[in-house]
Formats: sequence, structure tokens, C-alpha cells
Amino acid sequence: MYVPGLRGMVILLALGVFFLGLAAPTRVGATHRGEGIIDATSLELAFERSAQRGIADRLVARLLAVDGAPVVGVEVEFVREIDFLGPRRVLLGRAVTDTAGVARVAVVPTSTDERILVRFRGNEHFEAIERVEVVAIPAESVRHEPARHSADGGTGASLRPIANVMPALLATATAIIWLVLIGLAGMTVRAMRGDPLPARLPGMTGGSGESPRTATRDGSTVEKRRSGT
Amino acid sequence: MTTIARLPARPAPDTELRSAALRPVVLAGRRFWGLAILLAVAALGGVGAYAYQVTNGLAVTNLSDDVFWGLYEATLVTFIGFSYGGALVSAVLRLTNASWRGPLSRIAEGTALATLLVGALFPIIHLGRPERLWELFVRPQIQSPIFWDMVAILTYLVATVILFSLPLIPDLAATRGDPRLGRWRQRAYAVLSLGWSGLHRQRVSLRRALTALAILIIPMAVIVHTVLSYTFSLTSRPGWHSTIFGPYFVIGAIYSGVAIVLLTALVYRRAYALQRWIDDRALRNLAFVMVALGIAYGYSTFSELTVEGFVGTEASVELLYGLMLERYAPAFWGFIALGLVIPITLVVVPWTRSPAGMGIASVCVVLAMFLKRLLIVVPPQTRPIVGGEAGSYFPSVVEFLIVTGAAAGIALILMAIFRFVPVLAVDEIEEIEHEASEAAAAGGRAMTRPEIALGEVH
Repeated sequence: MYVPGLRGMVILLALGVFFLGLAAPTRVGATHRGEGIIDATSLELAFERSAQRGIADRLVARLLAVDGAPVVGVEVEFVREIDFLGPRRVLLGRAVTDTAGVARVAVVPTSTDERILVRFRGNEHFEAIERVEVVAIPAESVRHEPARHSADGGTGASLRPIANVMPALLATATAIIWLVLIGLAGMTVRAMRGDPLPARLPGMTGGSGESPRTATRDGSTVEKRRSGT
Repeated sequence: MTTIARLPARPAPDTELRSAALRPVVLAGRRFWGLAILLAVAALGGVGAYAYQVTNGLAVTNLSDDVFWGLYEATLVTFIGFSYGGALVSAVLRLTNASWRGPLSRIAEGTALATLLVGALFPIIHLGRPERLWELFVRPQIQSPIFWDMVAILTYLVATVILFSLPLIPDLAATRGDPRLGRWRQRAYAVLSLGWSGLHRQRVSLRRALTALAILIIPMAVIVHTVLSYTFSLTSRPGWHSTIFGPYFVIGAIYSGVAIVLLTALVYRRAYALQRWIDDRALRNLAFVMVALGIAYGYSTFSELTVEGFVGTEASVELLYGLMLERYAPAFWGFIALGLVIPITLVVVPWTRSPAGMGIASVCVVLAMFLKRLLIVVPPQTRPIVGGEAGSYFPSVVEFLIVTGAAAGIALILMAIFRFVPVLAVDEIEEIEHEASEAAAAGGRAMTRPEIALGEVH
């Protein structure tokens, strides 16, 4: 059996350290996926009230890498979570992070607490992350006007409650109409049933000029006969 | 046996009427089968074209990023409009107790059903990925007018099926014994007549249901077509974003729908010698209704164009020039002539107010209103909004084949319907005649025949 000498053991040790160093992550919190290193990220969400009339309020997300460096030039999504016949999500908008890692989207809030999901879908350098938070909105920011284009060109996504009320009204009206239709049809079919169908109904046709049989019945006569039995 | 209050005895049923109502059911000669085969070939061609489209994608159409709605959308609006006219003819005439509705109601209801069945397929035909249709039900976008359009059309379809089926019950019962029907039809009629035996309580129940349904279907049809118009007007695109689109679409729908009912009635009257039942009076009154709607539609068109032209924003002026003087001028003025001037003239002028004249008028209206829907859908899209060159669109062969196949499908469905059920509403006609004779017998002038100001001839 070969036993390496001191020089061989030093070489083996150096090689081992070298390969271990390749395998080890170079930064704390990073995930090794083979070829590249993908950094973990953190996401913060806040509401930014506009100081100027005519400029919309904003939802602000800040995307940072695990070492605190801003993640620049990536797309962040803002989604509002609502509850209408189950949990649903309404996309408020998408924005690209600036040099400070901040993405902003204009909104028109309609309540003092909005449940917002903010999401970064990840790329080859950074991990995906999403965060759901109940954002506290100052009462003075809550409005019930239609969404307007703001002076800086942004478009506010409407969070008005009317957007939830109209579908509920339409669904209710549709359900009522369906119930009425089915009820009408059902009641009429039930009313048809009753006395068993006689073999021949009054005036049951045998054709006129186009068939050798001609049948004529007096409806009143048949009815009198039936009422007598 | 319990004494049940009954209506006064009805006179002897009109066997000639009942026999005539079954003529399309029992008579099918070479012309019928020849036409059916021709229509079936056209319909199959449409199905084949659709299969080709599904396999190769919407690239086989001439739709583009600029013009994303074309022939399919125009056809959807047109066919749904046809169905509205049929339902309205049946419902409104029933509610107003018009004495001339009898011969037309079954045809109107059948036309409404056939056109709606085919028209409701067009949103699917237009889908690039039809296999994803199920997601409209499990993951609906409830804020979208298109979702509510689908809900409205489905609801309207159910209502139309019921409106067609209920009045059939007494007719199937009355005619089920005809030996010309054959055994399977007789059995089917017996089952589908649901135990109808003409009892008072059955008649009362049926009459109430039909009245309620007629009241319900009118606003439903208005809603359906208004929501359909919202897919255009609830956008900011010039030429579409118009407050008049809701009533404009509704009036256009009834106008074209009445025309198609008139045309169908004329065809069946001629083909099966039903002149005694589908008489000149009924046709004339229906044609007058069509004319009134045509005038209303012409007024709406004038109003819309005048307002757009008078305000004169850049986009509106560009569209109006294209519509009236430049690119689309032949189509626009063709619509004015075929859709308004010619049919109204043919009906209003007494010596052209013949069945042939009314037939030509109705054909003109049907074709012109289809053209008008194309003029609503396509030209506003050709004008770029963001930038770039003006778009253009002309339907491809695939699109033409699909639409032609759909139109043939409507005719086939109608032929199939009236091969199975009586084409005339026998019980309704007898009831109307019974009421008229009762009123006449009671003394005084029977007011069941409303006089038409434009010179009705009794």
C-alpha cells in the first residue's frame, strides 16, 4: 500500500483545500446552483404619500441583496389581494427598480389598510422573493374618486370599493334571472303533468287533403265526456 | 269526479292548419335534400377551416397587432343581433296581444335559437387557444366586460331555449296523432308534450309562464347587446368610445333580427305554400316594424356621425374622412343604400310592397347590417394610436370559409328544427282566432285587429 510522504500529504491537503474552496459559497446566504452564485434578497414595502396635489400616492418597494446592496433594474410586481367569492388578486402594476433598488407604482387607496403582495420573480443573479403585507394608509390619502392620470404620467390603479360591488351586483342579478328561468320552466312542466294523456286529443289531426284519414273532434264534447267519468 | 272550472268550449280545431304546420316535417323532396347537402358541405368547409386555424394558429387569418378584431367579431355581433330580433318579435307581439303574431312566432323563436347557437360560438372561434376556454369558468376576471358578456349570452341562450320550448308543448300534443309523422316522431311528440291535454289549468299555467318569460327576455336581450357594445365603447379608441353605442347596437340588432325573421317567414311561406297562414297582413306588419327600426337606426347613425364630425377632433375627422370619402366610402355608402334607402323605399311604396319586394328588402338589410358591423369593428383599429403606419385588414380565405360555414349552419339548424317541430304555432293561432270570434260574437267591433296607418288592405 502506498503511503504518501510529507510532501505528498502537503500536496493532497492543498488540493483538498482548493476544491473545498470551489464548493463553498463565497458569501453568506447565497445559494449555489452550479454555474453562478445567486444572491438572496430582501424586500420592503411602504406607502408613500404624495406631497403635491395632482401627483398620485405611491406604493414603494425596496429590493436589496443580502449584503445590503440595492438590486437595480429589475421588475417588481405590486398585487392587491381581495376577497370576492374567495381569495383573488388584482395586479396593480409593475415597476423597475432604480439605482437605490426602489420601485414605485402609483395607487389610489380606498381604505386605511390594504393587503398588498409585492413580488420579484428572480433572475440569474438574484433569488425570487415575495412579501405580503397589510399596508397602513393615512386617512387623508383615502379617496373615492376615479383613478386619474397623474402629472408625472403615472396611472393610479383604482382600489375603489365600487370595483368589488359591481361584480357582486351583476352576479346577484344573474343568479336571480337563472332562478326565475329555471323556476318558470319547472313550474310549467309540473303543471303540464296531471291527468294522463288520452289516446286521442281533441282534434288530433289525420291530415287534410294530403292523407287518406281525416279526423275531426269537438273539443267541448270530449271535455264533457271526461268530466262525466 | 271534482268539477273543474273550464274555459268555454273551443270551436272545432282547424285540421287544415294543423296539417299545414306539419308540411315541413313530412314533406322533404329533392330540393330540400339538395339544399341540405349544399349547406352541409358549406358548414363542413367551415369546420375544416376552423380545424386548420386551430392547428396553424391565428396567423392564417389576416388579423394583426393593428387590427386584432375583424370578421369574427363582426359576425358575432351580427348573429347575436339576429337572435335578438327573433326573440323580440315573439315576446313583444305576445305582450301586446297582436293578432297577427300567430303565424310568425314559431319562426321568430326558431330563428332566435338558431342564430344564437351559432353566434355564441364566435368568441371561441376567435380565441387563439380555445382549449383554455375552461379557465373562463374556473378563473374568471370578474372586472372584465368580456366575462360578463359570456354570462349574459349564456343566460340569454337558456331563456331563448325555454321561450322556444314552452309554446311547443300544446302544438306537439295536438299534432302527435298525425300518421304522416312516423312512429319515432309520434313517440317523441308524446313525450315532449308532457301530458298536455288542453285543460284550463294547463293553459293558464302556460300562458303565465310565457308572459313572464316574454317580460323577462326583453331586458335580457337589451342587456346582452348593450354588454356586447361595451367591449367596444368601454375603450378609449376613437370610433369606438361613444356613449351612443349601447342603444345603437340594440336598435341595429332588432332591425337586422326583424329582417331575418321576415326573410325566414317568406322562405317557408313560399316553399311550403303557407300563404293562407303566413298571410300578407302579417308580413306587411312585420315589414312596417322593420321600416320603423330602420328609420331609428338611420337616425342613430346620423346622430353619431354628426356629433363626431361637428366636434372635429383629429382622430374623429380622420375616421370620418376614411369612412365617408376615402378608403371605406364604397362600403359605407353601400350600407346607406342597401341597409336604409332601398329597404325602406321598397316597403313604404305601395306598389313595391309585395312579398317579393319585402324579400328583397329583408335580404338587403341582412347583408347591409353585416357590412355595417364590419365598418364599426375594423376602421377604428386601422388608425394607429401609439405610432406607426395605418393598419389594413381584409379577411383571409380561412375567415371567409368559417363565416360562410357558420351562416350555412344557421340555415341547417333552422331546417332541422322545422323538420322536427311544426312550423306554425297551431295552438296560438287557434287561440287568437277563438278570441276574435268570441269578441265578434259578444257584439261590438272587435279591436283585436289593430289598423295600420300606412294603408292596410284587409
